[in-house]
Amino acid sequence: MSTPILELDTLTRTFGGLIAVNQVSSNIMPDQIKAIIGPNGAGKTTIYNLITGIYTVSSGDIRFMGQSIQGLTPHEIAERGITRTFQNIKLFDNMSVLENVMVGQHVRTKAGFLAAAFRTKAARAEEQLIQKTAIDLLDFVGLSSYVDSPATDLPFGLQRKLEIARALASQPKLLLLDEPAAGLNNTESQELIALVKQIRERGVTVLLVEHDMHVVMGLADEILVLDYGTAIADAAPTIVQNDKRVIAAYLGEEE
Amino acid sequence: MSAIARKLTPFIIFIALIVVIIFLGNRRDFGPQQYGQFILDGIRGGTIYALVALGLVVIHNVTGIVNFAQGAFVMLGAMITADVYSREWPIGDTPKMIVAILIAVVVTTIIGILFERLAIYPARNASPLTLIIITVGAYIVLQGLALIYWGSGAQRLPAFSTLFSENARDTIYRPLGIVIKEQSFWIWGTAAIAMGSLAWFFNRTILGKALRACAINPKAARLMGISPNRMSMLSFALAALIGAIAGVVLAPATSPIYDMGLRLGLKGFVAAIIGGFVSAPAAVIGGIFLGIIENLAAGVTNSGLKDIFAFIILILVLLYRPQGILNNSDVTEKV
Amino acid sequence: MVLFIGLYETRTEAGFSSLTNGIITFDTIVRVGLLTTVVVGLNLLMGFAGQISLGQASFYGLGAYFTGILTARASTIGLPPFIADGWWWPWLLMLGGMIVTGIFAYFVGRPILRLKGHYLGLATLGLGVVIAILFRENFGISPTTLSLTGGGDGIAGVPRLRIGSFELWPVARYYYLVWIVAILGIILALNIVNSRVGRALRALNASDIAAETIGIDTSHYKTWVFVISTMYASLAGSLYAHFQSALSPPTFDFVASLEIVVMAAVGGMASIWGAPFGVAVIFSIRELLRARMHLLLDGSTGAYEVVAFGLILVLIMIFTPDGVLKGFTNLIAKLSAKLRPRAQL
Repeated sequence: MSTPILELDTLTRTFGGLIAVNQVSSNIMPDQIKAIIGPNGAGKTTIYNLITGIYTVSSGDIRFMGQSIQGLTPHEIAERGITRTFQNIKLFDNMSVLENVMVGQHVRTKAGFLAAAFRTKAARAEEQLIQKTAIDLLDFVGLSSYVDSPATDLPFGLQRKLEIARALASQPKLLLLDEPAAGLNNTESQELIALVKQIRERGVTVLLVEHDMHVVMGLADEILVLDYGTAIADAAPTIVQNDKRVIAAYLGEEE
Repeated sequence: MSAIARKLTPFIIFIALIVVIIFLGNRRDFGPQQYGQFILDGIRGGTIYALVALGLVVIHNVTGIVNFAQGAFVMLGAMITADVYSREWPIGDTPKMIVAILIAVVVTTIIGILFERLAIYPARNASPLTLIIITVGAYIVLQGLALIYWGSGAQRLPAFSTLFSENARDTIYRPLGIVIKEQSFWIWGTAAIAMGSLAWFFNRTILGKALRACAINPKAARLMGISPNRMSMLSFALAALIGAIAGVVLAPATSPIYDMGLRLGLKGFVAAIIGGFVSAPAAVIGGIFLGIIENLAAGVTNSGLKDIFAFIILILVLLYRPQGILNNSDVTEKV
Repeated sequence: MVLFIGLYETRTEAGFSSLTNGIITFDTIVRVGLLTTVVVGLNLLMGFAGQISLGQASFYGLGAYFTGILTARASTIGLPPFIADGWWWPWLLMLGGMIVTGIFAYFVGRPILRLKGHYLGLATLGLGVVIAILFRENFGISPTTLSLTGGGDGIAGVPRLRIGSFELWPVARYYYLVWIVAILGIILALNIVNSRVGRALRALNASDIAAETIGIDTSHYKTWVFVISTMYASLAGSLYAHFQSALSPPTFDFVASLEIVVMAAVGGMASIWGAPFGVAVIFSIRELLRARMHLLLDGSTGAYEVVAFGLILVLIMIFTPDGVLKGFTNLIAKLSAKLRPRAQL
């Protein structure tokens, strides 16, 4: 497997005078689990926003499966196969757990306004399928007992899982997780590690921004380290652990 | 549309507009004098729009709310002044006018504060949509109360210059054959003072800076001991004050009537949007620009259609430069 | 319930009138039906796409004037009689009006809805004012050359609807048409809400960014919801034209648009079934005001209505932004929770 699934090519993003992401180049291989770490403000979430099209690129390129996705809108990028979760969890709080996962499948389904208004046979069949797929996904992440609860009823750790289930519903080839372990206790973190491994087994490449070093070390095949928007290391965990610059940037961040 | 085409389009449209206006004007044999007249009247109207826009920008910058009731403050300023002045009091005309103005401004400002406390504050955590609807509702209430209290007839207020001269009507100047009534100078002078004071307030006083801080980062402001609630109230008070002043100087020039706030509010919005809704000076320029174009266009076509042009400009601005014509930062955020 | 009212009315002559002391008439119920259609369309836009339209009355007006001009003014614009007098012509116009209004809304809405924030509200406000002016000013054309809208006087003489030779009049018959349309509108709207499309709309209402990253083309959906809401309004407007038989500009102005928003708010912005409720409540209040106010003063009560509406709107938005019904049920739920015996732990 020599073509990376995602290539960041001297990716740069500035905000006025501030350089948030500074010529970052990095590759992710298919079926890999790669982590992005770095002190706060290092540009990790900005990179996510660049990849998913929420921010435009100031210079450089982003290629997904060989094709540039720079300049595409977020929904177009989702259609290509990249979805994400959010640091502060953006669930749809006006829907149930099941509906959140059902709407996650939006980009892979097609019933439009007319089909919906007149409840055509095709639309109803598709609706059945959507519901079944959603239930299966909820089962996969372990939320089966909450199917009809309002999404806001879930405790925090489970809301995280729901967001992951919703992101998986769009059948992504690349999943971006934004600090999924934040706020989780030890048991929950272990569950998370197991879940992410299972996700990888399903053929999804995972990119992971994370502060929790146990989780990072337990999952990552490769780690990209950012500091002030610049990549200072991009290698296997054991190498990164001992990199002098990484230690300097992170001094005292040992868990 | 490519980026360059996007940037050029407003200018192309602008030039096209000018051409059309001149063409239509020539069909009616307009000479430079007519154009000059239209432009001047437009500047006068535009100044009022600029003041309305300022009030909008103040509130928006501090609270993020679009205040659909802003026009009502102008209307109240105008109507109250006219009302008080028309009463029989045993004092001379000039003192009576001053009293009327003071009462109008103070009452309107109080109404602005009450509005904020009663309608905005309780709903401060609601969605933006809800807040907008609330301000719309408030506008309706204020306009309706005006209709009840003053009826549907127009009020009258004598031009300020009549207080100082023997004339029964406003003094008229005719530079180069263009008619300028003295009230216009009152309008421009007051607007200039108002804008200058606002600028001074926001840049030189602690309170003004606190207001700006709130707009930029409410959380940090709170940490610094600034209370967003008080700031919100203050911003509404300011906006009501500005609106009232605009109404006061406008009153002699256009007979105040209970529904004048709607048109003014709408045009003030357009002016604010031209300035990107963040920049006060840009809003002022936007207001004057709008006044001129609108007047020119109405002059060469049909004056009953005057209000349409503001909307056309609005649509054009929203389509091509959503961040405002004068704002220099590019829209780089998608979605 | 609709059937019940219809049957009751056709049986007894005075019917509803006598029941409510002349406050609510059959006439009123027809109007309620017309506006219900408008409000359902607005519900989709406001409750689900989270956008506001302050000019909905002008789309109502577009449908009405489209129908009005092409029927009552057919001779002025030179339509041959075999079209103008055909029974099928007004029906075609209703459809045509919807399509024309929809196309117009698409081109106005698409660019504006790409923007963040509530620019649509502002734009529809302006649009509403402009369209109302155009109605009043006869589109800027001098009436001596071509009288389209009739200017301030409006249009009179819009024919009644017929199917073949069966006339949909008197009011009792028209009532059925209006409410069938309203109910169909509700059903279609409910179908949309409970579908993939409806979920997409609710998603973008909850979090625009999350919806986009999931793959929902938010501006596409916002635009189409807007278009659909205007088409609902246009259809209702055409029906109104045949009902009232005469059109005048003030019916479609800013205040009318606001009333529509209040009706939607009272019923619950996101509640399709709440639409008829909201409309009915506002109508009742209005008729009540008219009846009572006559005792207090002799002038027009229009201003008081307006103030009352504004106050109602503000209060509802502050306390029960999900609509009065929801607010009610929430309140009852809270109260019954408190009353439940504490022993159940």
